[in-house]
Amino acid sequence: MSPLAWLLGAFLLAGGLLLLQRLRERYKALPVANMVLWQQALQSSQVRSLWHRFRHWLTYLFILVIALLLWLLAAAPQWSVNDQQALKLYYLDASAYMTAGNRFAEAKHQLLADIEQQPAANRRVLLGDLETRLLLREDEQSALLPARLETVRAQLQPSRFSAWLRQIQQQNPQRPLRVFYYGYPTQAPLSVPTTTLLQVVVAHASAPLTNNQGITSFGKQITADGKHIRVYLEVAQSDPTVTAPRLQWFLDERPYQPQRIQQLATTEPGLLRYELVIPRSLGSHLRVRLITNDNFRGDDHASLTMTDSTPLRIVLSEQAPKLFMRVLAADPGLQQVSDAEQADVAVRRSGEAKSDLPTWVIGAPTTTPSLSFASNSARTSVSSPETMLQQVFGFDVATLTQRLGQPPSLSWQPQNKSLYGQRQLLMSPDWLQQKSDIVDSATFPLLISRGLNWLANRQSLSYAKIAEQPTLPVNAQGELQLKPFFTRTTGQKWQQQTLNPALLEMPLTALKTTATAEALAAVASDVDSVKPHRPLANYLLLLVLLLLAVEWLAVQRGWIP
Amino acid sequence: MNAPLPFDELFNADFLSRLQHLSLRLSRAQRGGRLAEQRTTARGQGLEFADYKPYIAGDDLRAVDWHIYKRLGRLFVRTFEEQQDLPVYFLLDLSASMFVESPPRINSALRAIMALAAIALAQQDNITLLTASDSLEVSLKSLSGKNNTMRVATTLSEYQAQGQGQLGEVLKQVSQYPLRRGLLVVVSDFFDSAGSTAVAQQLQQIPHKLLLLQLSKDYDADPRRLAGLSGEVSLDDGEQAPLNITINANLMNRYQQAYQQHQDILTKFASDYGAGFLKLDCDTDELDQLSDLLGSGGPLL
Repeated sequence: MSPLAWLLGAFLLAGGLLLLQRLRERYKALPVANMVLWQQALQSSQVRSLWHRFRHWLTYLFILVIALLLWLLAAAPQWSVNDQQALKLYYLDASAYMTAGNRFAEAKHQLLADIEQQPAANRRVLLGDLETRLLLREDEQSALLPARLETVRAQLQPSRFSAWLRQIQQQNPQRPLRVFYYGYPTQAPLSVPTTTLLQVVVAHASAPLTNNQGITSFGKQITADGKHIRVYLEVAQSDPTVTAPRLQWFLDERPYQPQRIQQLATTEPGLLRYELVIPRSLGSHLRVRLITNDNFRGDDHASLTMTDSTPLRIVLSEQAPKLFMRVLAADPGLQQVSDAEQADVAVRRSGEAKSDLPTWVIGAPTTTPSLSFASNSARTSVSSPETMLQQVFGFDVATLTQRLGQPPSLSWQPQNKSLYGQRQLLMSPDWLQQKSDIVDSATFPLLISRGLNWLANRQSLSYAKIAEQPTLPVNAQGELQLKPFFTRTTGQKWQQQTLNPALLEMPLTALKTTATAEALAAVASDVDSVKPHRPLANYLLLLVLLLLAVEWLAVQRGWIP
Repeated sequence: MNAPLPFDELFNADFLSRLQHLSLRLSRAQRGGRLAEQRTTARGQGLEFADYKPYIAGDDLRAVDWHIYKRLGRLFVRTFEEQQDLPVYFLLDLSASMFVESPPRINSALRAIMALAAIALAQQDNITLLTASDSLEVSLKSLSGKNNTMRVATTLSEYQAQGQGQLGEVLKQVSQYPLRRGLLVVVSDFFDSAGSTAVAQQLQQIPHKLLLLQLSKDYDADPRRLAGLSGEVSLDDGEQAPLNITINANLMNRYQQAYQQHQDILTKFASDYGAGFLKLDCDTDELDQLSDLLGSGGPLL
């Protein structure tokens, strides 16, 4: 509450009490013969003076002081944000920039040093990953933080600090907050205007990337004859004077030297565009690597599939979970079909009719969430289901454990249960229960999408669209802005064509699910639940009780009417 | 407003019997009255020897002192004090303030007047009942003889509160009223809106001997003894608009100062002008208090 509002309330209280004092005057009729003498006494007692006219000043003073103290307790006006009143949020940014070099380790080290000097009250440590996780609560000891920081690392993802800051400011407009930022303070993350209640302090600023080169676009277009694929590559350089980048090409993970790479003319300094045409029969998976020395590998490689660009066709059984239908609607790389003859992958429950397609089966309930893989080929190349989950799906067991609330049971399905040698994925229905928050998370649609692609034996692609210098392409909502792919048209003019990439090719943060916003809101609301440490309130309450006792004593002894 | 005492309580055998030993005496009553019991400066019939004077034609030969004639050869006659009656005027304050309290001060006033009137009538004095409200009124005039005691009681029992209590104005009218000089007994609380000083100034103009009976209560001097006098009170004397006040220590002190000043004015007047003054406590027996004043048998004034 602002001081002005508090003062207004105080005046209203004083006026109301004054009115009550007036109202409570009720005269007792008393017949006396000597009234003329009382008149003389009244006239001689200077009743018109301000001091004596207000006869119950002591009573009024008592009530007013008590009421104002209670009002002070309830309103808690914020004359200024000081360290004791503000909630301190330590935000460790785990975005892509922090993956470069040992930036993230330096930031963690600085964070640990700062936290050790802070008392546990009114401070909270947050990890700026996809969902802004809580690393240390306000009531936890700082000694717990080092072990927790060991398990976290920066990811190839844009910073969500700006979005998180904006959201937390909107949801807590009256809450004094001090945010200490540990990361790469580019212009975008700190674009949120700070107020007297919200102050952002860059506690640790990682060194900026210099001479950065990165792949900003990597797209494809099938030629008219259908036999070739035209590949477009865009490379951005922070320093235009740097020599042309060195590119390494791989086709199905074998070194490949394109016969002709055409460099296209661009008007933007530091932006290089290339075009090459490759016969589709040469391979199915094309990867390019940018050889740089900028110490930031997140944007140094990209890949795409050459063989099949048509959406994966999925047939859902009648009792298939609704969640699959939502994922199919959100992912343009997946298409729901009704005819099993046209489908590539089927999704059904365990009791429903089987098909000879690769199938995602929702099995019988188990004690723990389980996921089983059945494949002829995968077993030979992947050592364990955990590795399988890590390499093919891009998830680690720790993340899933955190989301599920318990470790998942991962296993290989016995070979004989695989029909016709097709891949099969058996998932227990516990994953879809509302008791775990993975269902509403932003990562679960990705798990489904990658699982369906794995069933169809489609290779997942590396993350291709990451960074531009100097800032990440983040829009106002904090989401990664996908740069449009470009294609060449007649007249030597470049026409931009926006391609809607499949989930398979998208970074996690590009998923527009409500779950992310809800997760952020949950964190923000949780921040609001942290009560500021107010030792003064205890003394004020004590003073109120003391005054009440004195007033009771005064009334009992007749000192005040 | 409380009703005054009924006739039965005023004309009461027990009450009247207690008056037997009381007398109302002045050192010198004015001459010109009829024969009675009050000593006067008049010479005439009587038992008390006063003086000798030379005989002149027409003097009663029985008063000639023959012993002086034998020694001096001249005729002297003895003269005697002539005892006459005393005109006693009762001025009763009938303002509303005399009736408002419980018990009202008028009760004590009526008993006091009844007692004094009975005594005066018993000693053949002449009594007149005057009332003070907004103006002077004569209720009974020039009554004498014990047979009029009942008439006095009847009149007293019929009094009701009247007017706003302009005692100063009424005293002014009394001073201008053609009355034979006598004793004026003023029975009042002496709380006058014009102030005590104005009352005292009017009393100075009264040509009669004065006996002031001030009807008082204990809380007049010490208001803390008045039950209910705390916090916000609305005082009402029945004469003026109620007075809303809040009792506090400061106001109490100022009231006591006003009361003391009021008393000082009355006692100083009585002292300076030789008037009798009796502060009659309305909550104790009136006759006991009057006995102290009248019981010695000596002259009152």
